[in-house]
Amino acid sequence: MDAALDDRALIKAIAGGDAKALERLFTRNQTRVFRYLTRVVRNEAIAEELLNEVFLGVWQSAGRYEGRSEPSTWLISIAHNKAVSALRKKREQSGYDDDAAAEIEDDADTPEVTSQKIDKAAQMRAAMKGLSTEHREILDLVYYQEQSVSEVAEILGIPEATVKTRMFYARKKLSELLQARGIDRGWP
Amino acid sequence: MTSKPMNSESEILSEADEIAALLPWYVSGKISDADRARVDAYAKLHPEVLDHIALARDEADVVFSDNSAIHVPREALLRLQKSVASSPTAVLHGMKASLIDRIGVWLSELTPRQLAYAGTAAALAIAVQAASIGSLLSNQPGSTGYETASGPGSALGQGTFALVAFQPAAPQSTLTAFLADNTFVIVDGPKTGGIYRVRLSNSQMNDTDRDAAIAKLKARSDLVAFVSASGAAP
Repeated sequence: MDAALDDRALIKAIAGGDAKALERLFTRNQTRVFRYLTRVVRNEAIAEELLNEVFLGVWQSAGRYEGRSEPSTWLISIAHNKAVSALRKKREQSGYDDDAAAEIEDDADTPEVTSQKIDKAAQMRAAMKGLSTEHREILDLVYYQEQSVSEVAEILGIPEATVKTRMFYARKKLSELLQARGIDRGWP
Repeated sequence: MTSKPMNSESEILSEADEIAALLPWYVSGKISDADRARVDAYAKLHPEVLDHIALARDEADVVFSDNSAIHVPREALLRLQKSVASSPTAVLHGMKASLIDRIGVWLSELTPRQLAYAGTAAALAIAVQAASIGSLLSNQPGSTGYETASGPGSALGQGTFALVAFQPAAPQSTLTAFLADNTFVIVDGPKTGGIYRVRLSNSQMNDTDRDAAIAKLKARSDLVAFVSASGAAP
């Protein structure tokens, strides 16, 4: 039985009130969901809170899972919605814009200084921090969460064409941020 | 997720840009056969795409490395277990929940705004139905009429009773005839959730007779939405 089939069976058992099945589903998926949440909200304490909410949501709504999407896609969809709500609430309460802050943070060092301090991967890492939440999220969904175009579209609730366009602009912005750090990727 | 406009997403990409957009999926392997063939065909004509694939691999390495550095707190499972144990759904799963239990859980899990809307809608439905049943009972042939808990002849402490929710769209004439035919009398209600207390018999029925009476109510799903056996007066 592959992982997706096993997770489908667990979700079915959860819908019937099997708390042990929920614990098993949690154990199997907690890392990928927690990492997704942490990368999106950029705060481990909030991500931990949301992780709990995601699986509590699974416990309460497993009966509504129709099996049309992969369990991993379904879980990340729930996590995405929780993260969006949390970020909106945070913005409304504090007026703090993480995306704007990221761009300011990205300009902390001059290109000459940073290129001397850190290697290529670290430069890439620092540049990624300057991306907007949407752009960082789509890179994570594809590279780490290994979601297809259609699955990303389902998670984000946008058309597949928009998924591709968003990915293009995420990578383009990344090149611009690297360029600002003195690194020419040769694309676009 | 952000307040920044992303109007560029509505633009149509050139072929070269679309190929560049597909490369992350090409690298992850989660690409359709058609898109993979498209990238391969394009790369044959534009060898620089091979360098662009290498860029995507660099991006993937960094994203993977960053994710790998994030670890789930050890107490996360314990926290979930506590949350589940105290959730209304756990209570529902733990017992064979009646309709009223399910309604209660559903209500408890609604947001305040959803609850307000649901409450308003339910109150309206119950009010309309209560008016309908109230007028119905005052004219019910062969019955003592609508008997409140304090009214004469209600005999709440005697007899056999059931808790019943009627279908909102149940025709008044049909309901009247059904109750009269079976000598069922509504003696109280509506309570929370539109539940009425119905006397099945003036005497204490044995289990077989009571179950048969309840089965008659359940069989009329066009009139009855919910029925449950009830003891004597609360």
